[in-house]
Amino acid sequence: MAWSKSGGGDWRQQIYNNLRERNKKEYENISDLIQLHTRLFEQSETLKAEILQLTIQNEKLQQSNLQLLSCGGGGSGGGNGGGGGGECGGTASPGVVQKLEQKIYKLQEELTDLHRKKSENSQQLVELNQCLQEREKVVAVKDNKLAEYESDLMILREELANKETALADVQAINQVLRDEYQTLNLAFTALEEKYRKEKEENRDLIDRWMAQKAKDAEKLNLENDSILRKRQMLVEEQLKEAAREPRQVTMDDKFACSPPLCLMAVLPSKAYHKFDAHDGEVNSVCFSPQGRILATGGVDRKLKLWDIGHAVVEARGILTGSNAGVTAIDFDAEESLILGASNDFASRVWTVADHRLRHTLTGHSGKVMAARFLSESAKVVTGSHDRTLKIWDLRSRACIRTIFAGSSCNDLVPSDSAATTIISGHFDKKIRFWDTRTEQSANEVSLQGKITSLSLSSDGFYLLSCVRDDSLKILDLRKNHVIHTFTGDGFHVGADYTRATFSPDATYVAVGSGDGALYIWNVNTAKLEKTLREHTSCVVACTWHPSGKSLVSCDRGKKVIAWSDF
Amino acid sequence: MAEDREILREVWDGRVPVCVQLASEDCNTLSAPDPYYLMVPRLSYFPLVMDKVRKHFLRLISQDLQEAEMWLESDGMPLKWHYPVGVLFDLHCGGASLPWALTAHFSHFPEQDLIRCPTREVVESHFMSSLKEADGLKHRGQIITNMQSKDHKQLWMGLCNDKFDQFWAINRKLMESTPEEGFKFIPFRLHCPFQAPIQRLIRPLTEDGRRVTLADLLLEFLSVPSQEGDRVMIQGIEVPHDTPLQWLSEHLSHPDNFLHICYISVQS
Repeated sequence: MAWSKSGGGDWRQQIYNNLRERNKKEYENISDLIQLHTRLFEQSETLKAEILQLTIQNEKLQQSNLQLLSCGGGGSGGGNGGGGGGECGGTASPGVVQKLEQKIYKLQEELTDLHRKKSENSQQLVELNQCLQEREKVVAVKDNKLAEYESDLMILREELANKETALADVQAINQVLRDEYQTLNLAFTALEEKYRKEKEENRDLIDRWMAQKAKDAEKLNLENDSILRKRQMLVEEQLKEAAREPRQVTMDDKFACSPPLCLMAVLPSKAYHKFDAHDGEVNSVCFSPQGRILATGGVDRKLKLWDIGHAVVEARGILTGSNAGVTAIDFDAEESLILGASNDFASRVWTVADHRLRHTLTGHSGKVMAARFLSESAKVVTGSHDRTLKIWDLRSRACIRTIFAGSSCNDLVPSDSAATTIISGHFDKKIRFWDTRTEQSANEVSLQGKITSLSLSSDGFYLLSCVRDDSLKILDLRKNHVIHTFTGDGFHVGADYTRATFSPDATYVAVGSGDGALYIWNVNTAKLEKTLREHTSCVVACTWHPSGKSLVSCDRGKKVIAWSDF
Repeated sequence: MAEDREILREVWDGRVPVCVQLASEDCNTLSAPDPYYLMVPRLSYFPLVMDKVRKHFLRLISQDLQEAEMWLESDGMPLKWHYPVGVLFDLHCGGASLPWALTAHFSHFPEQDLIRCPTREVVESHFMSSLKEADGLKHRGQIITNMQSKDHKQLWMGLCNDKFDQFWAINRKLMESTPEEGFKFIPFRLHCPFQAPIQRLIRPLTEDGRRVTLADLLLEFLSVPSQEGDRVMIQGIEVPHDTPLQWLSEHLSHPDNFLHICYISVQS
């Protein structure tokens, strides 16, 4: 290669020589020596090891020799003697020695056998010991388990005892229950028996009732027939009369339907009907606008319709649905609806013709003390103990306005035909005037006692109010001023809702007293005209027939009395 | 290939006679122990050849030192096992007296001077890293990285088992170079006694194409001015100073591919 060849020559040769020299000096000269050394070293090592082994062997041999010697010395005391003998005997008895040796050999073998057996036995012993230990362990485990089971058993026994006592208790209870059940069963069978009897009775009664009904129907048919005949006769008569008198008389139908005119109210002096209207207090009494029907409301939750125009009082119907006593009654102008206020916080509207409940007006949170139709019959105003007045629309069956009066209302009247003003009498001795078109209270008049009732004269100018200070007062609404005050000896306002009333021609005022008397004053002369004593308990309300010919009063003792001058 | 088998063979065969004594403080026997003589290849490392010696001495030392690491010392200087044997010989003995007397120690390991060498694998990894470093200098590490790990193993086993052919079959690849340029740099280490070895970059050719010689290297890197009687030893011989470095690197390098140059000044 370029590197070596070009420069080659002397330095390479020199290096080579140097290397050779180095190797010669350091390696070749000494190598043999070292190798020799190594060999010698190794040899010495191996020899050392050999020597060691040999010494060990030697020692072993010496030991075995020693053993043999001692064996021979102990085992053959006689042998020694024999040996002595042998020495004497010389080689004469090598056979004996041989035999003895063989014997020794056999004995040694035997010994080794025995040793082996012994070792085996000891081995077995060890194994058996182990076995025994294992067994003991197992037994200990079993003992432990047994103890556990015994404790468990104890616990279970206790539990069993507890359960038994519980069972006994339960059985006792069961016995009691069974006895009760038997008694109840007996009672039940007795009741069932009773029920069956009642049922039979009921059936019997129903049968009788049906028979009665059939009789009634027959009677009604007869009556109808007679009425029909009468009417026919009347028509015939009229026809005859018409045929006889060609003069035409125009009878306005409207006139017939309008409320009977009252030219002059009579001063009632005699009771001509006296009957038990309700079970308990009779709270309210009201004539229909045309005077054909009398309505009474009582605490027996019923509103009853009567006809008192005949010789006997005829019940026309019972209007039910109220859940508490009826407190106030009003008819609408057409006499088709009747309104009843109730202590159950609601007011109800029935139809007069079929006696069915049409509306229930709920919303007050106190007893409803007064209820009136406004002149448009679709509206109703009610006054309540909850210190509000509410105006209801019957078409939507909803309260359309609530007036917060501030005191519980005992009575109210719509002021005029347009009913723009509502007058209410209150517990706080005030009469308040409300304009239905505005929100505020229009006016108020303060009197000396709680206002129990209000009544408006037919011309709408005078307002009669009954005051709890045992007086009646007449206000002139045009002046808002008291123009008359009526008091009397023995006159005493018996209830917070005692109703006083104007006669239809506004000549008289009538009111019941707490002692059962009925007081009638003349408005014009301001004199007490009459004191009628027939009631035995507090007279609550009275009302004049629209024609002014009779007066009806009711009291707390079921009674309703109709008064007239004949 | 710049293969001069004659030279390479001579270099490979270089051996040093060694006489190992057990340190008296570690000796456990009554009589002085026998020294152990042996020939050690110059190119090998001490941990690879001292197994027998260790085994020999283990019988003579106390029980509690049986597991201790053996370390060698020459004339009071601990020997660094990671230098090739030849380098250590040149530095510490220089062939002044043969065989080279060493002392084996099992206790008082000089932690500040020596690295511990628990197994042969440590030597192997040191050897391989030197090899890689040298190739990095010569060929930017391309040849060694392209070799398979079996070749690496063959290099190491060749060195361990003192198999010239096995080693050079692989090592020749590492010594390849273009005739015009030679190696990138010459991997060398300049050892001076009592100093850390000097290792610098040097190219085989100067910029004007002249071949760089050993004289140039010494002139450039030797810290002390050379005096009469100073010796520069490579592989235990004094090399003519006009020898080109490339040739030296190819032929007189140790198996780790480094050219170990020992400078021994006359004072020491």
